[in-house]
Amino acid sequence: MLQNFNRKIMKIKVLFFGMLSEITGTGSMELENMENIRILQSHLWKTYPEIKDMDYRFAVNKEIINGKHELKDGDEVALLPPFAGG
Amino acid sequence: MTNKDILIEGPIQQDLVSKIISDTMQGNIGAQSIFLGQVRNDVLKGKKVLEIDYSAYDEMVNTEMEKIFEHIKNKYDDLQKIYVRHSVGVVKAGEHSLFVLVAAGHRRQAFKAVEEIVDLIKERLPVWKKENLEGGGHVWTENP
Repeated sequence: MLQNFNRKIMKIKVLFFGMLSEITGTGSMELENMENIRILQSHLWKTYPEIKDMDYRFAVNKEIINGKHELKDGDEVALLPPFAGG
Repeated sequence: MTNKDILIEGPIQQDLVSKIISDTMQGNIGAQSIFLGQVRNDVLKGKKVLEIDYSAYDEMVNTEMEKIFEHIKNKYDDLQKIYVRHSVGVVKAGEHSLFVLVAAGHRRQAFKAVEEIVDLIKERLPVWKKENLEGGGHVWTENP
């Protein structure tokens, strides 16, 4: 029991935009213990198989990242479909 | 030199454009170049586009726009003011969704900077559009 009290739960916020918000049915969610982008991605693919074939990039705390990226408690991760401004 | 409130709800209104032009009436400016982006009634899936519903990652729009402003300010030395407004929410076909104004000492840099800012906005701002079609249905489109 004591050990459970001491164990810190790592939480991140995940944001979905554009068509991805339509597919997931939400704009945002909180997830626990997603240690890196790869783990998060495979969790999302399992939950929403449709997004596997979609084109999108990840941003962590509003900066676009490429490839491997470790996540920390409180990070805001966004899935960004191709931009369409203007 | 730049204004941070980029996103506005609904279409760009003429009184806003007129107010911004008034703000730039000062002696050291010799040229203003303005770009207005407009919602076009394209035909998608055989149906006419009625309106575009824009959505954005607000906070990231601000951080990306700051980077664009920094880049432009470093590249052009004759600029006095830059204004950018982009719509979020619904904008009907024929209405305006993007406004960019560059005021400079002379025309050359005003022309060039406006074009570059519009290109960078299309490439880098986290904004999405859902094109609502006549008779129902919608299409998510992306910039080429």
